[in-house]
Amino acid sequence: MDNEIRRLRGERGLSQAALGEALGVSRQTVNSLEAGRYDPSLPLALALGRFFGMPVEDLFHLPDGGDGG
Amino acid sequence: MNAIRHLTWFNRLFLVVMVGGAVWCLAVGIWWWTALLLVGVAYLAVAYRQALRGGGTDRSRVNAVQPFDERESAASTWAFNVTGQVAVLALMALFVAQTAMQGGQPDTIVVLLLLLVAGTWGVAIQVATRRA
Repeated sequence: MDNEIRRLRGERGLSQAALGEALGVSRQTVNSLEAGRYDPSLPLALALGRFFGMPVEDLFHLPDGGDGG
Repeated sequence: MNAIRHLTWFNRLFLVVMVGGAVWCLAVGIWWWTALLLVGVAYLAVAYRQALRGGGTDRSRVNAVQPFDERESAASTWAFNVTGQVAVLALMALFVAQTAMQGGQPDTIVVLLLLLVAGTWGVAIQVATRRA
């Protein structure tokens, strides 16, 4: 799933390892999330939203053309 | 999110089997197997320690059955799923082959292992569908 994690992390000057440590996940998992290879669980998605201070639906979005319905 | 920081049940049981095997081999005088198993235990202890601290790669942690987070846990589950399917198929093939080649009398150990795997499968399905 497309997401804004890489951009938001970059804006805050965080490394993948630092973000992973803050969320309790590995650096490799942050990398997979950013690349859209791994869709997080709801708790992890909410934790990401809380970390970046934005709603989950602003953090993740369906690929182009997806309407969610 | 809480990262997984404890030794998994699989690894606890695996260590018990390894250490128990080493003691058993020592008791019956096969000292070289005792030594080999204890070397294996020492290697595993180092691998587990590193994995529990989040060290190494995601692949090495999944390989050690010590997933660090939900993604690695999902990867471990998927890997065990494949392994379990292969184990069931291989055991069933062995059972059928022995039945055919041994005049309808497969080895007792093969029958017992097949029953154990089938029973585990049944319980696992019950638990999985209840949790889902």
